[in-house]
Amino acid sequence: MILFPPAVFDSNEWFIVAASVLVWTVSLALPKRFSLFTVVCIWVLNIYLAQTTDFIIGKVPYELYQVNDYSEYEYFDVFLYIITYPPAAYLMLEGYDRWRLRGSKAVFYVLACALVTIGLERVSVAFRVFTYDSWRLAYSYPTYVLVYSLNIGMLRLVRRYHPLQGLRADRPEQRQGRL
Amino acid sequence: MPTVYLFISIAICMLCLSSLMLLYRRMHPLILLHGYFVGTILMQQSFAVLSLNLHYVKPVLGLQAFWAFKLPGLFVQPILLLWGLKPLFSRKHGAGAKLCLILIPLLLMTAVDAGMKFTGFVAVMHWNAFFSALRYALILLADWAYLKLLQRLMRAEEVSGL
Repeated sequence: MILFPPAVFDSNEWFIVAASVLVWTVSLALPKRFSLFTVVCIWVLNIYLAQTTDFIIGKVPYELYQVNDYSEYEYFDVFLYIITYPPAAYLMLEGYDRWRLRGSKAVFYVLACALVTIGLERVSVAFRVFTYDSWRLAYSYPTYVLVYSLNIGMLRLVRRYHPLQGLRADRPEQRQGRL
Repeated sequence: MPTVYLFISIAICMLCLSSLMLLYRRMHPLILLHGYFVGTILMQQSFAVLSLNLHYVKPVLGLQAFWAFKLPGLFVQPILLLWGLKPLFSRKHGAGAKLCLILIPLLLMTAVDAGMKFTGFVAVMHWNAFFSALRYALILLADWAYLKLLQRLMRAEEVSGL
């Protein structure tokens, strides 16, 4: 089988669907802040990071945790990488850009976002999206801090070539000033 | 022997990573980054399907073997893919030269796979070098199509440096 369907469409699948609907609703409800190109950059980076991490430590020989029902590759694994994970990083960058955080404020923001994500991961473990083997929830914290820092790095890199990014959408005069 | 192969693997990775400097001067950094990310994503997904789900190939268990096999998958093959993509974005070369410049990285990527079989890091059940080359050619085409669309989007949004 090329991709495995869920063993049973139960709590983990429902959780993934509900979480995806929630993050997409929040993302779409917020005023458009980033251009399509920037969103694509954020999306691709997060698919790459999530998939690479899971394929290194989530599969054999390490197998520190299992994602969804099987240790094989499932439809809902792909769904997680493409639909569920990237909007979370998008929302983090949305706040980072909206409040124009720099220096220590940005550090605290990243640490706080990683803490919120840890909370969400705890709920996802309860719904059996992740089944830990040798993994602990505490290990995820530095991982999320690193992932969010890389996302901020990507946003800054995009801004270098795409100067309109990062200007406050709620202050159009700033955009005109930069033009 | 696996330790020697691991060190050879690390040396090839470093060589490929240093070749990124040459690519960086010739291609837009964001195009380069997207090409790397999408290439790696496609390679990882296709390999997961081939090894975990279809059992056409089977990586040997063991940490040394895993890293000797994983490092080229993360660095060597995606960077070779970028070298294969470079002539497709160049206006300097004719069709014949482009084909040759694309074939060289494709052959090298297939050679890395053959090397993995030779060193015993991957057991091959229903797979051969031709399928490997075909897989990389399809990934190259998909990555190229993605980057073309991305380049169009970058032009539309007036991203600088193109």
